[in-house]
Amino acid sequence: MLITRSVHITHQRITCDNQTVFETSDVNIFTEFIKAGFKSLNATYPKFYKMDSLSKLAFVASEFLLRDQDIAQRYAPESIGLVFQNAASSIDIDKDHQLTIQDRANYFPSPALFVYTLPNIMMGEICIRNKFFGENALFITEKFDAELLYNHITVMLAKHKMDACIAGWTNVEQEQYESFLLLIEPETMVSNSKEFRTFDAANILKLYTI
Amino acid sequence: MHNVFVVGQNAITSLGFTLAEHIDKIKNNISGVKRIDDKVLFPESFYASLIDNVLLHQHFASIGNPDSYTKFEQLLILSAHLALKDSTVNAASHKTIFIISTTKGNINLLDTRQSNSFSADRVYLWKAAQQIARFFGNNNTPIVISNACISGVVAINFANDLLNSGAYDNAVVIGGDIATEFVVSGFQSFKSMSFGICKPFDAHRDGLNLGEGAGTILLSTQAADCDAKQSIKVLGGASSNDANHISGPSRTGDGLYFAVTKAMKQASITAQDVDFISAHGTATPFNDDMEAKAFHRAGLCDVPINSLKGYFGHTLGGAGIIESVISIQGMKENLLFNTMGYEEFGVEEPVTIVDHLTEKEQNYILKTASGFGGCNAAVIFAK
Amino acid sequence: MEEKELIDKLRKEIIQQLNLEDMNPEDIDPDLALFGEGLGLDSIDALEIIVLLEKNYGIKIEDPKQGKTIFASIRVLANYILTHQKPQ
Repeated sequence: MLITRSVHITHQRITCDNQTVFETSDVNIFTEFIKAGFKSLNATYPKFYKMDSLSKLAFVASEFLLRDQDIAQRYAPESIGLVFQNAASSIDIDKDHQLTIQDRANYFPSPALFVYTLPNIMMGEICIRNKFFGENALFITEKFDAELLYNHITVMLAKHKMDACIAGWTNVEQEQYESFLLLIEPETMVSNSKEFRTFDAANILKLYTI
Repeated sequence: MHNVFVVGQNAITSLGFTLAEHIDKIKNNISGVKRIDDKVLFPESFYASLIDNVLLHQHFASIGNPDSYTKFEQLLILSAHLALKDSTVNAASHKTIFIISTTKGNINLLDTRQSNSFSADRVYLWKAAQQIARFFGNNNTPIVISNACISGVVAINFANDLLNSGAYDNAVVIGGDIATEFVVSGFQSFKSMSFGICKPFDAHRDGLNLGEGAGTILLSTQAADCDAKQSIKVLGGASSNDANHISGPSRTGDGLYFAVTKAMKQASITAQDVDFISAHGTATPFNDDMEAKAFHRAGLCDVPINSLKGYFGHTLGGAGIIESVISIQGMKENLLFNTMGYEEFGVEEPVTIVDHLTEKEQNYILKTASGFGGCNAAVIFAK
Repeated sequence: MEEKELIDKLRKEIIQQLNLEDMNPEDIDPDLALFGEGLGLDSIDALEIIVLLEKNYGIKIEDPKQGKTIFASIRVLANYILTHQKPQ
């Protein structure tokens, strides 16, 4: 298996295979940054604006990861899996929802907020966008755990639960945000396979720490 | 590949603190869902299945200090303790891994109106999981799975994959969630709560009941640990996404169909082999129709199906595990449990709903779950 | 409040509450269907409009199925508010 693309978003910069694809110093708050990053893709997708920060981050990372990849054509939609990790769950939107209920004189829980208090919704958004019907797993870990990610995906691939995988780490807490996503595909499906790194824990860590 | 056996089980809900109490009440059609008039949880009355806090405190006090653990942690620790004490699994061993399934864990700690002595980081699920694993002296980093309402089934599937690969000998898979104002208000804003005991697959179903609870399933590759005649194996499972909507169930059932058919493939069985399905069956109008369509399409129309939600509500991160352990017990006793709340058939495809306690020999059972984010999961257990 | 005035107010509120980015109030035809082919709102949006009605107009809708008729268009919604709002 190969890592055919990686995307890293943090500190107002988006890199794709270690090349900067979007960067801005004009905006210094996350919501403005991620919106600018999304707009740089020239995509029309009004649902983006309804998402919480975590989903927006994962969504933009996945858009860069899958740009011009037509992977939905190359793999059966039910064989494209998502395996994500995150530390803070949906903490920011959790706090927002808590604020809507804490004051009984101003008690208006919002379904559009509440639905995002489940962190796996970010994977749902990516599946909806790309029509992926495959495996979904979200692990909550203190830190990015390349070993756990690699071991789990390896078993899932060996058992043929999926043929290709979008995997990585997406975490937001206030202004601390980071998404690191990988596209993992079998050698046989890639024409120029020598150009890519082998999918293993050491290479995942290398890409993460570059 | 190592076979994975079920070597211990527990469930804690409003029905009781042991699996035996659950089975006894379910056999006698006793529901723990009640009308709740608790202004702290919700300004108006609603129907839910809640655990007696005084009893939980008493039970926990016999094994640990209740002041050192949150209600959520106490519930999961107690459930795991009760499952472990009758087994030979060494919880502290480096060959044992703790796997925790939950949606919101200690979310009540966000409520700034209530003071508590717990460190703020306990709201992080990985931190709460550490508290649980360390209670048992286990030093492996526990794994937390948080996939909305399918978390429990995903956790069992993950544990099975992990044990199959030989990475560990045993997995203590614990799932649970507590009833909080946070969650009750959210489901109420979705207008998805029933005005009585929920009615899965019924023509007059009008929504779900929330429930709080925890369940534990102990899995082991050490076959010597289980009684050969009673041994139940995890055969395999899968998950999927509807790719349709973040909260509304698929109108076609495609996602659940993929999860179910992939699970059968993982287990190397066909639809004809399945003797029983423990469905998700939340009793919301769209969910139950979606499930009926998926089971129909998978060729499972004639297989008896139940939902246990009418007994103890929807226990969220606990559901996949609590409902699995009860269904496994049914399998051992050759019983199909009644679908509490169901009276009149009311879903769009002709599936077979269990409407009374029935004797049936079962060799293969299927457990499914579906949740927000469009996710679905399925697992197969075998005798 | 007159129908026209209320329609203008509702268009702004709906854009804000439902995060309809890049849309101006005058872009929403008061007679356009809010759901389905028209503005393309979904089931969560319908529930959000229920919250909006309660928060801003003190109108409670218990049965979300009622939303289907009440939320047919901005004009229908405005008229529903005008006939159901309690005098302040």
